[in-house]
Amino acid sequence: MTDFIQNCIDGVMIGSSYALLAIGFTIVFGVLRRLNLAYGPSIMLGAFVGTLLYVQFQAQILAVALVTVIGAVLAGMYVERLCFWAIRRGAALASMVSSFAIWMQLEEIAVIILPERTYPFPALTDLAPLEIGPYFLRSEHLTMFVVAVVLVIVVHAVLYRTRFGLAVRAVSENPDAARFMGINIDAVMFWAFAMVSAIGGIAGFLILATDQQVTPYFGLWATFKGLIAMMLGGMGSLPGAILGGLILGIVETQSLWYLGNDYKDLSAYFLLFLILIIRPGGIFGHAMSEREREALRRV
Amino acid sequence: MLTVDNVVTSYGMIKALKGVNLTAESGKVTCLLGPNGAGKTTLMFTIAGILRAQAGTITFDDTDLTQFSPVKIVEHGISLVPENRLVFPMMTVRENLETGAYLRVGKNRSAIADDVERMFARFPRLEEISTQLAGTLSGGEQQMLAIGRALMARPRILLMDEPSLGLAPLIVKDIFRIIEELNQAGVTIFLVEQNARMALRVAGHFYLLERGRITFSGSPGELEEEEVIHRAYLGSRRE
Repeated sequence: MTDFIQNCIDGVMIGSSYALLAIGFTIVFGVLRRLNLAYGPSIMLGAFVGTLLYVQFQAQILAVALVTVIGAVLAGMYVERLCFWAIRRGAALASMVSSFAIWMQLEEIAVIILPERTYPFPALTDLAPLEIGPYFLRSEHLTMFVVAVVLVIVVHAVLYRTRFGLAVRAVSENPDAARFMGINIDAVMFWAFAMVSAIGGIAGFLILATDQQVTPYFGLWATFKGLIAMMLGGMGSLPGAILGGLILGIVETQSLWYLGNDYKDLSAYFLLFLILIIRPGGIFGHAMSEREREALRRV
Repeated sequence: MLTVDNVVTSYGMIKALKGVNLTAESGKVTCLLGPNGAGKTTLMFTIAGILRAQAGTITFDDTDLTQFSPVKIVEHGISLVPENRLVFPMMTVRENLETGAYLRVGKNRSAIADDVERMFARFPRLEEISTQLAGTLSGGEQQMLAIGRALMARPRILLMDEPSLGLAPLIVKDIFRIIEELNQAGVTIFLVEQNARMALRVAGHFYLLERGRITFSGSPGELEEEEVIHRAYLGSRRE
């Protein structure tokens, strides 16, 4: 039982970073109604620039963090201009395919910057794990969790308390009507993308600082985790993304402990498979509140 | 005064508007009637800047709007109540109203709050349901909300695209009563309708649009109501 609870604690901590990745996917999906497969790779590219700074110039951890986030945002803007702004509405598939092409491109750029497979990434802290009764809490995990909670609160505040958030929600619900209100849809999409890339950059930095290494495959990894977490929770739903991320984290740590490393990812895919059969829209895709379902039906 | 001068708008190869001329005078209700596919909504979208006119000009109080972006057109005091209402279903009634004032949001919070109160005074029903999600409202309530939302932009002219569409006859009466009241309060209205009978009651001037062309311009009463209704629903018979 102690093991189980310990796994749950670890799972929630790790899952909080998955939740951030899923939020990135879900906001872009909500606003653009399209998937951005290059989301993970653009984070990876940011992290590679940060690593370059660390490996070549022994940069401070904060500088690495800053460069990682800025790099991810710039890469994200590049992806937005090429795959989403240039390809107009209605061509969702073209956007997705081109975001896949850009993914390959970003990976190549990363390999040119740093040609070896694996590079060290600076650790966030060297503090000893916190002991709470029989349980341990890694300080990196705790940082990850706290930052994730803060970011979720910030994202919520931005969406529900600011002018930009009003525009993002309006565009998500009905882009045509948003245009009639004088909302500049292109600008909203661009800045939503930038915001989401910053969130991804922070999440990526926290994950890599915990792993203390980075490879070009981090892009693939981040896209997978974010997509799975989003689909578990329900596409386009913010609470869904958070719940999906946490569930994915817990399932992974549990199966790692009880079934071994080989079954860790397999269990996650199996869970996704089950959820998609039982609730094809994801957990929150169908479990919308009664009034929200009613709201959609009438329109 | 809104002036549409010889406007041509196409979808690809198909010309939807083949040189439309009309004016909507300030302080009046001007009505555009016509059957499905005549180009009524196309004209609305062209005025609102969503579609680009290939030829002709659209001017409003001496400002040429023809090349303006939709954002700039809203800034110039032209607000659209879209066909099918298009309220934001997952936002509350109050939030929907706030999106109407989007261009002013963040600049003057108290003025927007005052405007929301003014909308509630004009549409008391909206105040009762201000915290409900817009998607849960009835069709008539949604139409009221869509009108309120457009008014939140403090427009100098209100474009209304088929406000009676899909509403029960009693509710349609309510909506037209609102249009009359708004007009008495000084709002300039350009109304596109298929419900000719109701529209002729509120219109100061009306136009018939058939197959992309204006085929009649005049005051209600100049043309027999039966003929207007016939042409508004079915178009003129081909000779």
